[in-house]
Amino acid sequence: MSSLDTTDRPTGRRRGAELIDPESLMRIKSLHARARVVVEGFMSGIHRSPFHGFSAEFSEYREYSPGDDLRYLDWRLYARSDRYYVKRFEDETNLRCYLLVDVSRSMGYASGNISKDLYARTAAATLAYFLNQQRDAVGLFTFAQKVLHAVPPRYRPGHLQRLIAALEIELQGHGTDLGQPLEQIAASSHKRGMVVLFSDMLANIDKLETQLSFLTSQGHEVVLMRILDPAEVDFNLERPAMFQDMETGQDMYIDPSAARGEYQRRFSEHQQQVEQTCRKLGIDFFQFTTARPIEMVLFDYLSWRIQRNASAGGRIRRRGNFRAGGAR
Amino acid sequence: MSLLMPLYIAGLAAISLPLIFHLIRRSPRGQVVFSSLMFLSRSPPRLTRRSRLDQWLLLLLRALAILLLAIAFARPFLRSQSALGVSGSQGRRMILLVDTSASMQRQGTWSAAMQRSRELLADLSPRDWVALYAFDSDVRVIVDFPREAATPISQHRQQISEHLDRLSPGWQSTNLALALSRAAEDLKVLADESLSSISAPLQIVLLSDMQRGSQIEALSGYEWPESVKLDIERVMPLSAGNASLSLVADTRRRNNREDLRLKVSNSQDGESESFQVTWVSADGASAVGTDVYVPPGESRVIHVPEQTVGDLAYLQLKGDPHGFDNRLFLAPPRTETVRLLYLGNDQAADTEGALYYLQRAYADSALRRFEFLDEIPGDRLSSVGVTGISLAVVTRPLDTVEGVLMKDYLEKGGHLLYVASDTDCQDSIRSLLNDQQLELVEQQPDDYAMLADIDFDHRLFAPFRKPQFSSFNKIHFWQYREIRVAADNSSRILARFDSGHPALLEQEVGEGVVWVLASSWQPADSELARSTKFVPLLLEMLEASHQQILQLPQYDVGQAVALNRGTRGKGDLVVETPRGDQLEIAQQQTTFTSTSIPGIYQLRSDTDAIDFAVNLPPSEGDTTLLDETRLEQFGIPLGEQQTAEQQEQRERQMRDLELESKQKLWQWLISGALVLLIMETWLAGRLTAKKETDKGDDA
Repeated sequence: MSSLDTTDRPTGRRRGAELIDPESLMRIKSLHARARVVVEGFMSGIHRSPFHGFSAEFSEYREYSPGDDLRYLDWRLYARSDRYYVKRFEDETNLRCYLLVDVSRSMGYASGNISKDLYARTAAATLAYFLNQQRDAVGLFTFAQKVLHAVPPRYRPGHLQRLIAALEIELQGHGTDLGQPLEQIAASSHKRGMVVLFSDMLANIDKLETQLSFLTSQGHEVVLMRILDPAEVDFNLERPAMFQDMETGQDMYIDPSAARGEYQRRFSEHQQQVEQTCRKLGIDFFQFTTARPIEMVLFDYLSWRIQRNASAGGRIRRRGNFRAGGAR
Repeated sequence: MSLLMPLYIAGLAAISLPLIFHLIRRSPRGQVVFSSLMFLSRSPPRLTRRSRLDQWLLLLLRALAILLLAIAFARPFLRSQSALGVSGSQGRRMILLVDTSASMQRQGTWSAAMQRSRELLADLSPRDWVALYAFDSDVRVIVDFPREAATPISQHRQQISEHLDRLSPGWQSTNLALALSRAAEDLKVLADESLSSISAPLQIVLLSDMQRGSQIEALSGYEWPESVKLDIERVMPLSAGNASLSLVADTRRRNNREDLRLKVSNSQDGESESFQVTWVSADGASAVGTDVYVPPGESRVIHVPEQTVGDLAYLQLKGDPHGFDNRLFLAPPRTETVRLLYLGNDQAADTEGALYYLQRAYADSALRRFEFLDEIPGDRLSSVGVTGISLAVVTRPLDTVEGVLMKDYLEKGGHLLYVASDTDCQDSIRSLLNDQQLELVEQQPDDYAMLADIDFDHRLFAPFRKPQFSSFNKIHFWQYREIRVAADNSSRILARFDSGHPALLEQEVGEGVVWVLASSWQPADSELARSTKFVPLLLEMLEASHQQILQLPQYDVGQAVALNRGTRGKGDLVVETPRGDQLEIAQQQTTFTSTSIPGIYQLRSDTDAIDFAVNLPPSEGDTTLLDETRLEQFGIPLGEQQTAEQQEQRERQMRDLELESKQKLWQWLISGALVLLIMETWLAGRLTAKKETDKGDDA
């Protein structure tokens, strides 16, 4: 563990650009340390410095029209070209990011060593660490049927520790119900921002559209990170047994070999519905299994940011300027 | 074919196990927790070919193996006809030891004992021999063992049963040690007498309330025969607890204190704590009592004032459920009159005379009143004996009549102290001692004479034997009479003067005793009267001469009352018991033993009547339960002996065991089972291999 922590960290990963497999990563007990290992390792692999481009950034010139603030006139350009141009800057408001982590019972499932819950919390911590490095305000909501912990988005010393401490709390909830928590979160986050939702989405999705629209209607930009266990995707269990539902406690005799087909059909149907809903609401949807290295979550997120900035730059700018940090 | 352990045959039920395993549906192995069952639906139970029996041979092999195993565990053996007989074992030799002490009078105890004894009798095997013993402070054989087997058993049992009905608890204390050792000894003797080679089991069945006051200490000195087992049948009274009343000291009329010291004890399991001690008169009316508070397990000593009202019978303890030990009888205090004969020339008021000092030495007390006679009363020296005069003191020469009378007095057992105050007494002493050569010679030492060479072994001087009392040096004799006796004189010299002349001489005359003092205690002769030795010496003389017929006013039930008849006449004595019976005591008897019930007894002689009280021994009131392990500490094996039937049963079992271990059929059965199991394994392996080959072919 200590080798992972300090000495091997920079060289090992930079050279091979190899990613840490989640199992080794999860052996680091401290969530904060895990997040740091992922982010710094990742950053050092692709970027010179994580502290780049955070200051007020020049965006474009626009011709002065009466009524514009004279403070923004570029006097040097006027001296050069004798025209009045107004400098436009990137929005100086820092990114306001809400991390929503599902801690319902079903998240505790693990076919191997890593539970979805552990994975989700590590991913959330990694993202929080990363955003915090960029001086962005990160907030956290953990929820099951209702919101269990709420950490408002801030950027201040000690905030990251507080947030990670909130993430370290073990599973508490029972069933998953997105409705109430999302409504609650929407009500308590007035300022627009980005919402990253970590959940297995193993819940009734009849009202998913309504529930997610609480967030989008607030003007939030929503990313749905669906985290699943490999066994949930493949349903490659072998022996027939009494299966117990983690959330409801319901028992059922199931012979996996017989039920696999049916399961996979209904699972992909469910997944399609989720994706469809997301598409409809302009929500970006990612799906991982816990076997996937955590860095890939960060990578997916950043590549999504780039793609987003490139393709729908206007829309983003319209909503507020979100920076994807060094990923640009 | 017989089975040593038939219970193992129940293992045959295991035959059904392979069948059951074969037929029941395979239930899911364990439980799997899954995140959500939302995409799953209940799978129908799989019905496979398993439900049918297709491996008949395997099943049969397994069932047979289990069958053989079950039979092997049941340890079968073949019982041959010759081995069936079992030698006749002897029945138990049993002593039924029934406690009839006073504590068995407690309510419910005796009836429980009787009921238990009848049950015991009914449960006996016909071959058992029983004897019935009863015990309290002594052991009584009520019905002995049937001797010579002449009496039919049933008749003997009937006899025991009848005697049991007649038994009842008495008033005696419990001497368990005596009873147990006696019973054990009798059983041992019986076993030794037996001619049979097989020793019969020896058993004592003790029916008792097992109170702590059972006096078991003596058992520590008894070597208990190991073959005798003791079965304790403890009987309990209906209500627990007991308080008892006993006398600590009767201080009435002594030390000027007119009260009694009594001890009230409460047993550990006692329920009540407050009691009252009252005097009860003969007609049952009780006076105002003294309250006493005694917590369970403790005792208190209380003072009870003497009641001067007449006709009081006894002290009663109230507040205790068990009344057997709640009465305390006390003999009425008695002042004894002691008559002394003094023959001298001096007057009582004459401080230079001997009588003056004698009267001070024999002063009246609460227990004794002294009566001094100055002449020989004719009737007191009658043919009956010297019942009237305890001690005669003579300081002057006797005349002829007096000499004859005194001689007669001595012959009949009288005691006489002759103080040779001058040489004129020589003739009188000569005639009293039957020594005609005796001479008295006046001696006047230069300064003084002292006593020396004192015989401290003699009872008169025995109290002075200890070094701190043995100095007689301070007693100075100014003058004395040297006694010169004949060479064949049988008198004993108890003390001499330092000059070697006898000072005190003792001679037995007839049944009586004469002491001759060579000087006197008058101030003119010596300082004896003013010394500290004077009064004790005179009292010792009185004790030697004055013999009380009863030593004590209090006795325990069952205790023998020593009668000190001594020289006091040979008259008949009669004892009146509390029930009013008159018991005559023959002349040669020196004890009275019929103190069987508590109460006031009266001993009557021709001239006197003395009351004495008989009470329950205090130990009998200690009814706290005796720990049975204390008996085990004395090496007594507790428990029941086996009856003849049980012994035979055991013997039969031993034979079976032996037969079985000789035949060892189980080994064959186990081997058979092993062979079957090997076959089963081989067959099963073959079948599986075949199945897999089929599968492989299919694939």
